[in-house]
Amino acid sequence: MEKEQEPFQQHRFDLQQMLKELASEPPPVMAGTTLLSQARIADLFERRQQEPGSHG
Amino acid sequence: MSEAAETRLVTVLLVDDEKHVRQFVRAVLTPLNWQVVGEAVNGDEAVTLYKTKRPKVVLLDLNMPVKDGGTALREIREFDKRARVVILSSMCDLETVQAVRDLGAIAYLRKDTPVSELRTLLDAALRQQLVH
Repeated sequence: MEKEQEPFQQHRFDLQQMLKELASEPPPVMAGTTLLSQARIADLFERRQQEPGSHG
Repeated sequence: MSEAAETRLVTVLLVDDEKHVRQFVRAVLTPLNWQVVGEAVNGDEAVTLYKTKRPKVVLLDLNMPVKDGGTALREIREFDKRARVVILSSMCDLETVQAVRDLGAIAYLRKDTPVSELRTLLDAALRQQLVH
């Protein structure tokens, strides 16, 4: 019974390892592209509102 | 409906090529008491509907067939300099955000923003515009 479980457990280990490696890699984006959080986006718009002469 | 209530009513034009997104946004807007006065499935329809419906706010997707949201935003703002357009998109790269900001969008919301936060941000964006 224990022997039958070995390949499955090995598979789980490999999968966990793979997920670990994937998590450590940056997301696939085009070179030079900066992805923004919602907070950063809101900040960009807020700054525009504060610019002199801005009409929104 | 009284004249005062009509003045407070926020009319919205929803623009997204995906039906389930439009349904989702309708559900998000319901507690805000915003009234959807039209739905468009591309930028071309959005410009046409804006001219006829004259909504207080446009919720605009960017990636769409026929005419993209950026082009529609430019054309709507050319038609009406006071048009309030909020971008609702899954794109979140700096170049895209800056481009629509410079075209005059009043806010930019990521589609993956939690519903309660979406409501807060939409409400805040409009209030800020009404004050300025």
